Amino acid sequence: MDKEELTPLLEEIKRVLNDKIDEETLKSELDKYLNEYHVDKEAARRGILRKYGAIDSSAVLSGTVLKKIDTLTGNEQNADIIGKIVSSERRAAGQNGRIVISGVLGDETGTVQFTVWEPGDSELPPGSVFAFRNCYCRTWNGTIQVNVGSRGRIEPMESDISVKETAASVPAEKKKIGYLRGSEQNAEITARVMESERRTVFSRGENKEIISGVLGDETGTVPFTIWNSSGIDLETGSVYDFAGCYCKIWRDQIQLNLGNNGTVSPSSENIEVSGYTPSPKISAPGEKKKISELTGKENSVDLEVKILASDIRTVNIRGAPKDIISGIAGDETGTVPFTIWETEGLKIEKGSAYTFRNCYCKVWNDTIQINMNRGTAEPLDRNIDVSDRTFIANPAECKVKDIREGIGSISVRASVISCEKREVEIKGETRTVWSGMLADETGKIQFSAWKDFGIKERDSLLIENAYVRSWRGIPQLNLGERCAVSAIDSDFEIPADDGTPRTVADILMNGGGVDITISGTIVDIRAGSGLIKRCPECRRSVLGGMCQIHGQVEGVSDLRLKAVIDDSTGAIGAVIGRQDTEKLAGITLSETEALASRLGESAALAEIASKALMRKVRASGNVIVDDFGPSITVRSLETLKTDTKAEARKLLSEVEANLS
Amino acid sequence: MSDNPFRSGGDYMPQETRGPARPKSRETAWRVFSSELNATKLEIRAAEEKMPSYVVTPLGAKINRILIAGTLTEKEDRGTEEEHMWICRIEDTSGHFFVNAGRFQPEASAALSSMTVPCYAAAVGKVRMYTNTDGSTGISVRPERIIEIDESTYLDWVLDTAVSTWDRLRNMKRACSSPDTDAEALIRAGVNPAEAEGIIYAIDNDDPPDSGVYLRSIQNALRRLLPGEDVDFGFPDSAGSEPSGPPAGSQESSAEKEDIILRLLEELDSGGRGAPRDELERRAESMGISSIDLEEISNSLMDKGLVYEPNLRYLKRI
Ligand SMILES: [Zn+2]
Repeated sequence: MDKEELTPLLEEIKRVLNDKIDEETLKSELDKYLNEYHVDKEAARRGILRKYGAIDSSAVLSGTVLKKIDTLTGNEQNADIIGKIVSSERRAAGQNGRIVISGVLGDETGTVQFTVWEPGDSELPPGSVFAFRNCYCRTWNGTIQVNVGSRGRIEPMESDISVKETAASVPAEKKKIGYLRGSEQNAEITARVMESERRTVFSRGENKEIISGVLGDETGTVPFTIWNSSGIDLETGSVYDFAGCYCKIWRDQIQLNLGNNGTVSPSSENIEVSGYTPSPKISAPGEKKKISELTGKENSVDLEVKILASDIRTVNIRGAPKDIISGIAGDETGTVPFTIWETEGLKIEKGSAYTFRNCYCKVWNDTIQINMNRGTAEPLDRNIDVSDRTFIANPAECKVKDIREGIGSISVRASVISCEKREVEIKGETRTVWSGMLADETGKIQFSAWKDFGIKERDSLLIENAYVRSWRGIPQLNLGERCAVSAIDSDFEIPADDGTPRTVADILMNGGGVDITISGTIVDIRAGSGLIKRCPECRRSVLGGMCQIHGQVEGVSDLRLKAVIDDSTGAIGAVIGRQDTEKLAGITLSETEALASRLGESAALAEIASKALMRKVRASGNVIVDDFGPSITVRSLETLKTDTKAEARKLLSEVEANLS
Repeated sequence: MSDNPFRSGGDYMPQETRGPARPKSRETAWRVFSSELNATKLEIRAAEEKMPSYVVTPLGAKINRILIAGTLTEKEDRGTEEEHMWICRIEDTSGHFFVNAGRFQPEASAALSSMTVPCYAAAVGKVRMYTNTDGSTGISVRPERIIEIDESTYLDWVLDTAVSTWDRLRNMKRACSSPDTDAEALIRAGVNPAEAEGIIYAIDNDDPPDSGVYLRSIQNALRRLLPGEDVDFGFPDSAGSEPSGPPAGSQESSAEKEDIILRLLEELDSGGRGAPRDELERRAESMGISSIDLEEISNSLMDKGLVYEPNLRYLKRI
């Protein structure tokens, strides 16, 4: 920013600070705000004024702009207006009957309605001129209103103003639906109600009833919302006059709104509606189909199925936890995953048969899924043979990263990274198990084979009909009696040792795993971080010189962080060991100990925390999910270096492509 | 024995539901520009104690916790040396955040004491909606953690936030363009459940958002990230509309005021008869709660069944 442009600002600050600051200091302060930190002039002015004590506590933390009435947009949050009182009245407002003064204010450019919410003893006689400071504006129905709230104030002025008698509002315009532009502030339309629905919504701290639906006239249809529906009763099919409407536009979609000051009255006009197609609804009894006949496009279909797997999950819908049931259903022709979204009073038992009525289908990842929302599941008194053949012929083939408990029988193509033969004792019986690690290009998973399939390291295999069990949130693949294993040629690109990238949301939904990589920001450092003592025998952390296994021991110093990493999809606990902590904080264990003996352990930890917090990192390790949430035991950690310019250019071209 | 860092603190709590036990997740820290946060009008108040409250932005971000960054341009301590009450502004490329830290934010409060204005700062904290006496609302951030950062860490945040703003804008557009969209449909289309839920809540309860505001925020962010390059979505450079500041005396949301009054009631109830009204009024006044506010708060507490009036001059906790 060049010097000339800055002169007025510089002068203003100097004047206000009244020589509390010399010009050189002021210039360098301004330069810092504007050129080093790139904040705008207003923020710089306020920052400097506050720093040097020229903004007192009673002044609010915001800036104001002097406005002429015809430039008001109705969205001002903090404006100053100088005007002449055209009319004013002291009255009781609202439920508690507080006294306000409202009226009309004018200047050379127009007039506007105003309300002073805490007038005290102030008088606003017509004809006098006042400065309305720290006002905010609102629009009602196309009319702009100026409000002087608790932060605002009114000051009498000596000057006189000749008022231009044009109200700062948008004149009402009579419109046909097809000619709405979407920016109308005060439109009147006459239209037939094609659809209407009364709903309760929670808005600004209270429940309120709104009416929404579709209006139509000769020129088209438009969705509408009536925000204050008290006393309004709309009959579908009837014609009404709607006055005081405002429109909003979201790209191509115009929406008509009726605010508090809008009115609706029955009209005798006869209106032929054109261009109306009813909103899709699930209605008529569904078409009866077998699973193999599904196309994925069905809107309402009935199926007779047997439940092969079913799981109740809690998801959050509209702020409230809600149970949904998902699983796998089968009939004589095949199997299909299902989700039931309305589970009130519904019990779905594995192995039982049901008639699913009014389901709709979606295709997701090339797989057909059936969904039931307003449909019903009725117990069916007949046995459905989901032949093994059918079920086995269509086991879901997945990638390693998609493997999770509850998806039933699965097939996977993967390479064997490691495999070892072990004896385990299960319910008093010794069994041989071949266990190790499998991987494909998407990730790694532990497996256990309960019979000898001849699995060797570096084999590439097609494993069919395996099942999944989780341990501490980590899914593991089990190869049981019904499993088939065959060698394949595939050469997998096994993810490098830095692990499979996953999001926290994905981990919360699908469980933990081995060798997972998380990228996010360190947002918290938890208790148990910093200098600790470990048992020399077992490496457990010791408290008060006691190891819970080895008793009294001479602890060995160690450094670790218990951090919280947030990747914007969720948060995960991370236990970071000494080496990575040293690297992250730029301080060694011995330096930390020296610091701690000088300033205390909490000061040493604060030093480390100040280096670690808000850092973007990539952490790899095994992820478990237990009662306390997901956590990663970090095996390697690095600070993320983003090429912000390249990423910004990517975003730029994406936005531009979508704008044109 | 679990080493899980969440063992300390109540970020995750085992959930009592049927089916496999799933821990409730710690609230995600949303990356949101100040322009979007300050335009927020919707609040979802916790129905029960220990349940989180949220605000829902016009683009459907359902926020309890937020990650913000920017230039700390102003800080003012309205508390005492022993008990700070910091009121700050942090400017990002779209406007500014209001940040308040007092005795319930000890780490952040201590950190703010040693920060010099101006500097780049990042904060993680909870959002609070406050209502001014005139009925207008505003949002402030109560930081759990705040620290000074370098410019490149700030620019990383600007980029991340621009990307996530763009994602929300697109998802919102998709949701608005089909009238019968519900959360399920969005989830099926690949939007994550938390975001889908927020979008539907915003559509149901708020006016459709003005996409121009958010395109301009993205434009300004990209201009900061790519100085000298041609970034023009057709919006003037100036920052977004000024949000209103937290007015003196009403920084506490009504939930916090209720907490204060409940604590006072316990403190003043020496003889088990309840707290004398006049004393309560005096103490409340000294904590910035007017007698009219007190009336409103005690009514609300009575409605909730938390307090009652043993007689006209006393108020007592149940
Ligand atoms: Zn030990």
